[in-house]
Amino acid sequence: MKSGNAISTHSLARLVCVLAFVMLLPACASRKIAPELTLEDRQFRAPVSHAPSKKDIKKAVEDSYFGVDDPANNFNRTMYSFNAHFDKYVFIPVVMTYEAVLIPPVRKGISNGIDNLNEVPTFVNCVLQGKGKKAVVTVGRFLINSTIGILGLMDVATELGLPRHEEDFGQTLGVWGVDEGPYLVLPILGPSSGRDAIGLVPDYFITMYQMEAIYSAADVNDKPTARNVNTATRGVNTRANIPFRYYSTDTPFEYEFVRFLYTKKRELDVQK
Amino acid sequence: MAKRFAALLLFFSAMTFAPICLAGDGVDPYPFTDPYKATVFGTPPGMIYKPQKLGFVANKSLSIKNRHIPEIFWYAEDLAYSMVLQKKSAPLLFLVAGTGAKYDSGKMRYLAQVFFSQGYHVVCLSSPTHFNFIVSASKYAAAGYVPHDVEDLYRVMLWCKEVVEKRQPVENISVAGYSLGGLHAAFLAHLDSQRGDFNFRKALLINPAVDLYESALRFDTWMSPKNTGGEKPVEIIDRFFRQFAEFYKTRELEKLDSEVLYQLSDYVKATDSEYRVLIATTFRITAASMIFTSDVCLNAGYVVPADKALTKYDPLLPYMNVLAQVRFEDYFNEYLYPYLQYLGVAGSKEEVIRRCSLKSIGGYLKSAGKIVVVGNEDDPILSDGDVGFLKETFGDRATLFPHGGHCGNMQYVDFVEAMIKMIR
Repeated sequence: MKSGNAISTHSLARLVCVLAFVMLLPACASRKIAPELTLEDRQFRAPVSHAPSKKDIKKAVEDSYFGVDDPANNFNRTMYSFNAHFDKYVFIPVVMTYEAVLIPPVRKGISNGIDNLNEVPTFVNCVLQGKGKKAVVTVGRFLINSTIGILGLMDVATELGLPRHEEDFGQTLGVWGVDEGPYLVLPILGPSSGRDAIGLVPDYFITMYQMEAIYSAADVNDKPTARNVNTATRGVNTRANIPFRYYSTDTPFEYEFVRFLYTKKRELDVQK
Repeated sequence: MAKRFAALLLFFSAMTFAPICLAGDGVDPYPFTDPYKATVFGTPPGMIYKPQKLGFVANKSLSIKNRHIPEIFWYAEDLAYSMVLQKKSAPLLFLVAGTGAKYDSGKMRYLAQVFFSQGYHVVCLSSPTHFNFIVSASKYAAAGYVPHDVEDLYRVMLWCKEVVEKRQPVENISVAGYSLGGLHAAFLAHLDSQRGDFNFRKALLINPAVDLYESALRFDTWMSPKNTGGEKPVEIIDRFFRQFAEFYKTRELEKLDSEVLYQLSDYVKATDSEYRVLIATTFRITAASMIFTSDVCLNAGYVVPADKALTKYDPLLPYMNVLAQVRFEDYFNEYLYPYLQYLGVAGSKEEVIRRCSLKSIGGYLKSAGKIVVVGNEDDPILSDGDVGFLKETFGDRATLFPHGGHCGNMQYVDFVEAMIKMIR
């Protein structure tokens, strides 16, 4: 009990420090006055131009190894930069606070717990895709981790040689032969496709019914609060587990590379 | 199994970053004797030198008032850098990233912790060839001409020095860099010997490039039909991709770390000339990013028409495509050299190229005892002549390992210990 108090006081102190730190962030970028560095002279023109012709622009996707058709280009790029802003001003500060307040074993426990809950939609999708072995492994993992793994806080099953599979309804649709559709960048959620975006809906309902069942079984009185906590925790946990940061890939062509990698990855996930 | 279980238990007690366990006496020799494999796959997890303590990395930035920033680079208007400071008076070390790399690239983060745990305040800077540097802090917004790039670095370092000194006392200052950053570190030491703002105690060149232009041209020849046997580079890249796809499909990968990379090194089957294409392609993408950024910042009309102001909606794939065909030699002849002439920089092409080589300051390097080198004899970015130059110029101030490729063994225990010893 005593140590529990100590931890929470400590956590509180850290929270205050981190919030203070986050609020101070904008003040950190120091501004230099250097008139010779304002890049005013832009009169130079290269004697040779490699500017792409109209035809080059039209055929750009098929000409490039990294090319992916992008009919929703304007919407996607708007969302991409919206997500980058959201990340910078909301998501990442929240994740930083989360990481500063909770020690890594606790975060790992939360992450494992959510992974464990997600075995349910994965199982449903394994069955829908006719992947018997993966379905059995997933059930096995869920049973082991929910019991020996203390409600999924520990991932004992992986240690026992049962690796975690991830199957979502987007993949299920892919296995059923549904075309991936146009590349889409969704608000906050990021890269997706027409098919994967539709796939989010059934997965959402499976998870929702699952959580409602858990709230009922656990006799939760204040369900709205439980729902909010669930959503917030899942959101922060998911972002904390994705190392990607917008505009940090050392190339101005990041959007193009992310689009390529996402599309290829999902192709492989469906074949897997 | 027991080991795994022990690891699980340890996990709960020691997850709070305490990766101490330095590999003991029985370190295996560095496994990749093939320089290309070394360059691509790096150091296997069991052989990585683990810094004794980890410091808190503070991300910082600075911006230049009223600087012209193109709309599509809205996210790069501040020059980002980072610092890891001791909580007391300490020597300061500047780290300069390699070609096209950012202050927080994997190699930079690693090196920062290695030297922090050796008692340094560490400041990490992006390469002047990185788009963020070009957009936010480069005086002429065109990278690749070493004297200009080093002037830019020098100026930024003076600003950073002020920031550090406001927080903690600085005992003395050193500079280090890997790859192109190593070459920059040598030129920084040379510039400082004339101006005396830092009075560097040591300059550590890690796998330095000796001659920027020559190394860049070497990459370009790796893409030529002579190396590929007539195959298109993209076909070779596709083969790598397919192998990786098979690898990915047959296992559950949580993340792409050094462990996975090591498994991959065993899995991938490729010839040396194929690895060369892979390395050269990475370089080509880096160069494309650099050239595109400069062209947009200067509005020079090289790949983006001068009358076109790119917005954040414009697809950039067409520019990527044309730049995929632009060799470094083309960039130099068609863009960089004409621009330098426009700026009034004197000298023939040969002279300008020579100013980007360590050989141009060979006399200084030979006499300056503060400059030390740790590298590899089989570094594929160096010619035999370059390796000879390093040996001849630095003598026992250069530690060269027989194998390791280009920065492949940078995390390997012996290599790290050599870096620590040489900078002491």
